[in-house]
Amino acid sequence: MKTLFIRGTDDTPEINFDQTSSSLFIRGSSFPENTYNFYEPIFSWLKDFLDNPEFSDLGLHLDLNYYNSSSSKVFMNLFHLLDGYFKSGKRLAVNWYYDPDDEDSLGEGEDFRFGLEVLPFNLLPKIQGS
Amino acid sequence: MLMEIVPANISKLQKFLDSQNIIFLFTGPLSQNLLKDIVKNLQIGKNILNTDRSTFRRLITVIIELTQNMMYYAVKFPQNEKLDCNMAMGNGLLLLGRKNDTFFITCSNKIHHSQVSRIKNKLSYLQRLTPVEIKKYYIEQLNRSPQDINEIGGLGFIEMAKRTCKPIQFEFHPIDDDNQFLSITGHIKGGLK
Repeated sequence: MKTLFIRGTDDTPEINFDQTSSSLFIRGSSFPENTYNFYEPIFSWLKDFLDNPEFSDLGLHLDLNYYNSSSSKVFMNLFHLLDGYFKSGKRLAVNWYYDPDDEDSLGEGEDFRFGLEVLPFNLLPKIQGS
Repeated sequence: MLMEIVPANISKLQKFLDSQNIIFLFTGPLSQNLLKDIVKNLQIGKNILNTDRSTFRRLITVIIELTQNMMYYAVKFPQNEKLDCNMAMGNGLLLLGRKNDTFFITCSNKIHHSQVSRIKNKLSYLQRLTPVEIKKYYIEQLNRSPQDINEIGGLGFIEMAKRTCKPIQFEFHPIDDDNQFLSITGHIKGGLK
């Protein structure tokens, strides 16, 4: 399986796949000028991974700071994609990390979860100072 | 207050901006690079704003949405071969201020006539919605078919409406036969740290 690592920048998150724990991390800010171009390779990688019968598990972890509305749209598309694969038998889960000191942060996670059918979508408080 | 921009008047301009509680004002070519720097500078100077984390992130979110919206709709500079083609730059104005306990963010730019009705319809529709209806509409739009990737601006205005404490204000002023001047303002109630 191809590894996946994209270094984070001021307007794009770090993308990192940890094969040992089968976890994909998206961390940082996400407001690139062309959000779809940035995330396109991640979608391709994910589809390859999920179509591969050798792999049945994946945890997607999102720990975000500032993100724009087109990133929200991309994340929702990503969750719908995983929702579909979950229905076909893959063991998948999303962990959405929210800031307990930001009154909007938990609600943003809930908005994403609302649109999903079966995919486990966990809302977890960020560890302070992380 | 209109005056000639000569050195002797700059301090008057500065005083005027201070009297209007303007925290920053930028006018000129707005680009993604500039947006990144604005966000970074605000993060560095966030103690000056003396506001809580929720308010601060709402401010950043609205600045990002308004600036990227402007870059998307703005009448672009004539193509310059020396510029990076991916840098969508438009001549605009971005302003952050605070009056009493409320921040205001304004973004203004020139747009083509053909975009006016589309933007006007979107913003007028949002103005009529209550906060609960805005949230419902946001979730509906967020879950629309992934094919609709050209509707970038649509979700941006809803995101902004979610974060602001008053309906989004906007104005169009005709400039010439082809273009109008669009000005959009969002207000954010400033919770203290």
